[in-house]
Amino acid sequence: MQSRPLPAARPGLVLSILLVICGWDEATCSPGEGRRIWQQPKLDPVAKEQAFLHDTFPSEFLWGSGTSAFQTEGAWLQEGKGPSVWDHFTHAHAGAAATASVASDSYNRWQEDIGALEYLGVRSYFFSLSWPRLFPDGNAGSQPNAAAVEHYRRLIERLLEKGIEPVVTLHHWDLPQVLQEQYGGWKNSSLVDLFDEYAAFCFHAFGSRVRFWLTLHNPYVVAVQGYGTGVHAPGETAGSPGSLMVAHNMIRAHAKAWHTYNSHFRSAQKGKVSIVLGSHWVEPQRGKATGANVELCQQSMEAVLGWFASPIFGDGDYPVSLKVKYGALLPTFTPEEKLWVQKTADFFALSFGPNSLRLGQDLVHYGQTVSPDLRRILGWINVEYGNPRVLVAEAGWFSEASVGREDTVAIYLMKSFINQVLQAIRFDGVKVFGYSAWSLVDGFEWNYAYTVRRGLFYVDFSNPNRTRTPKTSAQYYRRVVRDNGFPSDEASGPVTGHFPCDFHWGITDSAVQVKFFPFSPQFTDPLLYSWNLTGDGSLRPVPGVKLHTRPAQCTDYLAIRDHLRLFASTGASHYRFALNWSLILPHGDRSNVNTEALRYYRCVLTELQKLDLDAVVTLYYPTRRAPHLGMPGPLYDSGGWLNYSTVEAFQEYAALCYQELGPWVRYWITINEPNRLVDIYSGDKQMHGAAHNLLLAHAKAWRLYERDHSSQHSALVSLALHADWAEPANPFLESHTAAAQRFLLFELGRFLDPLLETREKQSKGGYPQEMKAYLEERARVSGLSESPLPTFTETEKAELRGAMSFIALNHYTTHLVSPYFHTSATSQQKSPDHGCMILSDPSWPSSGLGQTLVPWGLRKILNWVSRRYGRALPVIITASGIDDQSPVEDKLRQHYLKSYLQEALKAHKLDGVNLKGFYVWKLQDRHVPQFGLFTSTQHQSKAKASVAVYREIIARNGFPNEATVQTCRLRGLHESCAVCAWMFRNKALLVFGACLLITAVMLAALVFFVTVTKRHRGRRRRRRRRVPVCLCPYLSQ
Amino acid sequence: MFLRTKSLFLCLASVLWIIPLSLSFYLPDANPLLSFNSQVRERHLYTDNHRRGMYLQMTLDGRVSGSDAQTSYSVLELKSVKPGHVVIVGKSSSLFLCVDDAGRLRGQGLYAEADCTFRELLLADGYTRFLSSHHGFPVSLASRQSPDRPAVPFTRFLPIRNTLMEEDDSERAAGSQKHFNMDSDDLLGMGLDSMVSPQFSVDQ
Repeated sequence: MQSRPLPAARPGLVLSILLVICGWDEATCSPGEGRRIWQQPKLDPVAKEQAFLHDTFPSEFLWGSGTSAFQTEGAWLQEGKGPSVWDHFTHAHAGAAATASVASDSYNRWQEDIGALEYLGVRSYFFSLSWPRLFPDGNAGSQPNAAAVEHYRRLIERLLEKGIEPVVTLHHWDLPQVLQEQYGGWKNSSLVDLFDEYAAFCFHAFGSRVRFWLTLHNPYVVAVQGYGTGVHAPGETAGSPGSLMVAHNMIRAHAKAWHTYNSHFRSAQKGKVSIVLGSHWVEPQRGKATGANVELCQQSMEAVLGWFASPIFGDGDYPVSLKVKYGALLPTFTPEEKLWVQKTADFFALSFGPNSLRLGQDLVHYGQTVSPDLRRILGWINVEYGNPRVLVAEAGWFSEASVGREDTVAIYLMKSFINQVLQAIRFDGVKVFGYSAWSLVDGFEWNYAYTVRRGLFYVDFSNPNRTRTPKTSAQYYRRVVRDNGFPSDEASGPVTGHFPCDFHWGITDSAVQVKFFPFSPQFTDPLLYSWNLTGDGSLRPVPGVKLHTRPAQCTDYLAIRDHLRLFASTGASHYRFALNWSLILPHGDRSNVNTEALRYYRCVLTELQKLDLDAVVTLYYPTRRAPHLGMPGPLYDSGGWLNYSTVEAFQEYAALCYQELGPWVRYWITINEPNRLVDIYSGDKQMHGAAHNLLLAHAKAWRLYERDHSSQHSALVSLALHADWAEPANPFLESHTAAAQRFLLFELGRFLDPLLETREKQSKGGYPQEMKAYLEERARVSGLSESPLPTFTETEKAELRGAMSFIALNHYTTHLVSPYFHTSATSQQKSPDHGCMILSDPSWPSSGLGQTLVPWGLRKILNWVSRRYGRALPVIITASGIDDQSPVEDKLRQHYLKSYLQEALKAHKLDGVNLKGFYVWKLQDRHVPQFGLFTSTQHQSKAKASVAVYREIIARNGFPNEATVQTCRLRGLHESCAVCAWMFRNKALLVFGACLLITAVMLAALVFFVTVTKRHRGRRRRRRRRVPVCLCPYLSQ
Repeated sequence: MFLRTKSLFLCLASVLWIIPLSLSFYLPDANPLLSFNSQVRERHLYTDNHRRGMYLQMTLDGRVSGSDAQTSYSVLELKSVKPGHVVIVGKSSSLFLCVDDAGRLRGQGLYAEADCTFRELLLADGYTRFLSSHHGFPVSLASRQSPDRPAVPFTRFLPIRNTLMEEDDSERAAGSQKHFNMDSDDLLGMGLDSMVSPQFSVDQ
């Protein structure tokens, strides 16, 4: 994101360099630099800098939690407290139920709050002092309320005893009512001095024990809601002029208090003082970072955060955009004041929560999109205000009051916020030194009273004891604090190794499009034509002439070869495609068989065989959009899968396919994703009935193959299930673990249990015991006489058992599963029969169609299946893929393939899962870029980048170590040629031996040659002496 | 009978078609009826001389230049505003193509009628010339070193239909930009997935 990452090793050095750079280069820190945040290009969701970061926070990171006085203290008139504007406002405007007179009773139960902090293990507690409690008349010149002083002193002492740093806010919205009545509250500039006196008292009374002071909390909300719109106390509706005046006074009050601390207390107390500023965050409209949008985003930020931060952290004056917007309405700082206001904060304290975000959304979005992105706003602060140290003084969202202590969604919001802070620290170089999860306990939520909750600890406001019970988000926060972030688990590192040699590297396609039209009519048309070229240009058949046509051939179907050529170019070996039942048997029975379609399929299969590729054929491939759910119309009309006759019709269809296409098919899938098909049926009874018939149809088809064809063709038959992994949404709740397990049983166990032996002994065939029990219980509760789940007869059970030759799973993603609960959004719907709700973790990267990328889910589902059904049967992932909108550079899919296959390898190597194949869904897009490895034919069937990735993995058969050699093919060679292997082993010896032999032979030849020549000469000499001489005696020797 | 009702319906439909056309100045791009017509044409403007051919492109900072290949910046939207006059908008930059007093081209966010409308002249050779309606300058990609040359080069453009797919990142981000419901406790929208299988539900 940013060009200045902070290496953890030498932060001091880098820091000083950064400071020097800031000092030199005015441009890096000048106002308006924040625009850079939107201008820089967006990263992919799978880029390392963008994905969920497994890392820890800097040591000494100030983990904390916080509350404010008015929201939690209660005791509104106890021990001499004066009323605040909020007391007055709530008592005047709302009924007794919506006041904070008791609230969480923290004034009396502060020790329980400390207990809560200890439970969390945090290092700091952010709380605010109650001005009207310390000074009921608001005047710090008078005598303070001794009980209040004692209370806060005790609280601070006890915190320090427990090793918890107090971070004290002087004023969190609860202005003494007297000051409102006497002066008109913050509209009056006298408040500047009054606040200063109050602040000086607090520094004096508690400063020796407090290192972090926060003067005001989120003055933006006070200015706008308190004095502009009147939604907050004191409820004045003076509009912008009022808000601008209030903000002006609050800025000056803060500055004055800071100067007081700086000149009178800092030397002795050595603390740090700042102001908490709240803000929303905006992203350019529709993600388009055009100049105009960026400008509006910047103005939106300046209208909220810049309003206060620009005078204090920037150049001492309001942002130019505000001056333009408000003109003369905006109060001005004199040049002396500018210098006096500027740099009056020792660090930047940010509040990021519903109050600011909702206000930003309602008032100042300027047509842009308000987004809860804590990382980006931290980045913006970093560049806009010159890399200040930042304390996240309030962060969190809210839950509905009905959620209680099982606040699952809050966990994920917290996870997302804290991880964004971590990313800002590690990647963007933002110097965040603390984080306060807001809030510690449930309390009075201002204008929402008690309808929303923000606490980590649940408080029952009807219970006089106000017991603090940790919510699950508290358990989660405790874990994050203990781990100091999100350390990566051991198992997530990559492994090297390869898949078994007979591993299926496949690609899955939908139903193959049958295109009958031959490539050219000249081979099928027996007529001869005459062409009336000069006349009307028509063709007229010449009568009486018949040409010889040749019989139809597979080569006529050009589409097949093109399609398979695409497939072959990936290097994959197994091609999975589906037949079209309604096309082959339009009437549903064999009265009408479409032999042309069968011929087409046969052509596809023979072409595959020519290319030496294996075929995996799906008989029934239902989709939501196919007419009649992909089955022949008459069958659909007679009730579809609810009618038992469909089971028999399917058997007939399967028999035809086995008979016609059997010789070329190694793997048959009877039905694809029956567990999705049954979702179509409304009503529990229908749904279970359909599932029942689908199972029987599969079993009959399987038995049929076993009986009639397996001896001849020995293919394997199975059915493919949609098998996404289900992770308990809330890791701290038993009920969620049970729900996830139940969900898997309804999804997979329902189909696999009747077919396979489970490891559990009590299983006697049929549906899973837990499923039966759950449905019976559910029927009983809702007053039904019997469970909607049908039962199998003993013969059916016998027919089902073992009717599966391998386990075929279509795995795409992972879901979070929680028990079903009614929310405002679900009140209209009926809860599904498994009683589960499906959620997704927002920190998972997701595709355009909302599919999340969760590689470890694949390993988990493989292990689950392996554990439940044993390792005897091979498991094949018969479809897996993700949509990616990029036409060529499909980064998401590349990442998907690598990471999912990596997890598949882990399941195979580390967990011993009998994994035998992985099929990518799918070969080619139909129209726009989606799941295909290749673009659609309209877009020239271009290979996307992931094809190369897949090909590479296939070529190496996994992720082998560079050093190890892939031995699959070599081993084959060795076995076939033992002599070759022996030669290969002893090649050095052989070469040496050969050399020796050659040398010996040559030597011998030389010796022979020399001897012969010598004798020859001698004979000549002899011949010269006594001619003639007879050669014969020599030769005969 | 059926035929008559059908023709009546067609009649009515055609009347409905004509009403908006006759009343409005020009139809907004978002009109669902017009998704297939050429009220807004998405084109690359190709220009060449005997040595070089290039596409007019407008980058995000408003610079107008020639590009050797079709890029996302060379995708332009040509909208007719009145007979023979068009407004040219860069698709990815959302800037209007405008010409200043000196005849220099630039992209600007604010539409100024005088600077940013062009007369569209169809030439006999199939090329098109765009003349600034107000200033009379032709749209040209020639560098302005020789203003006194008789014929300014690179003023004839061939509008080529856009077949580039949206490789543009910001465009994709737009599709995936989440809507955050600030009034909900499920701010990040993690709730209520349904079991969707790409094979069963997405595939047709």
